[in-house]
Amino acid sequence: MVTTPEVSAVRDADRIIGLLEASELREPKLIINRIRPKMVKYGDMMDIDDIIDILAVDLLGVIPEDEMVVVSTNRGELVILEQRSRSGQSYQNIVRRIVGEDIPMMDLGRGDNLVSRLKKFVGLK
Amino acid sequence: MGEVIVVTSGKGGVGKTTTTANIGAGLASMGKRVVMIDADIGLRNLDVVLGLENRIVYDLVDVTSGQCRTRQALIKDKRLEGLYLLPAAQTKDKTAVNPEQMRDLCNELQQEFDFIVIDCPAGIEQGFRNAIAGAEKLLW
Ligand SMILES: Nc1ncnc2c1ncn2[C@@H]1O[C@H](COP(=O)(O)OP(=O)(O)OP(=O)(O)O)[C@@H](O)[C@H]1O
Ligand SMILES: [Mg+2]
Repeated sequence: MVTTPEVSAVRDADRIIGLLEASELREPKLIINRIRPKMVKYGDMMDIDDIIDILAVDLLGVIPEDEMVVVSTNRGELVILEQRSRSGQSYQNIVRRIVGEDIPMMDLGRGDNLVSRLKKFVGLK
Repeated sequence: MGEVIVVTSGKGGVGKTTTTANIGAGLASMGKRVVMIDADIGLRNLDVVLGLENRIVYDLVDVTSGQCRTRQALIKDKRLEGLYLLPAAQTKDKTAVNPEQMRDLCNELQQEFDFIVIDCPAGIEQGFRNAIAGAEKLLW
């Protein structure tokens, strides 16, 4: 299941997860795409923990917003084959998780701003 | 037996095709035999993202309707050994492929490939039902 960190995309993902479960396809894995770590840091974008809380599924990986995706798509190339692209690195990690390797999550898009710390403190998340 | 991975989403345009192409290529570069099935008819389709759009002769509907053998419709990637694409049906008729046909196709491909990665259309129309029909273990 792919989503972006937007409320509308997450809400639609939630509906599809419900349908998948109704079709007895359980335990979907989540990819959060187009994360902007800076925006998350300043509380301007949903944080990955918020999204996981809402969807209640396992996270397979997080892909950052990366203009290399657009550049390579236009050239018929793939970021995963570009050694130095951040999104390619994230996809590489996802692939390694798929084949069963234990790859730690990069610390992309985990909010640590005052608001989220306060929320945690008062037990809101 | 190959593993089936369905790449899906609720909302459109969130990165399914990009994800399918990159995961397919990543698995192939690890030496896995991979076939990607394009179950969507979109703007930036999998064939374009892979730079294979000029190589299409047969498509998904040709295979499921018996117009050609499965092997004939598989396009070999230009860069990676063991990576293949089964391109999207060029017809706008979303009921041209049904879930049973998709299941049979996946069963057939599972004999030969380590991974089948299916790029879904967004939402819950026929294409979605087709795509999940082939899923043994749903990743997405
Ligand atoms: N991490 C990213 N950073 C920047 N741009 C991205 C990223 N991921 C995807 N994009 C861009 O977003 C657009 C939509 O991506 P893509 O075609 O993969 O989505 P999709 O879910 O397959 O869309 P559709 O529902 O129409 O089939 C493309 O132009 C792609 O290049
Ligand atoms: Mg697409």
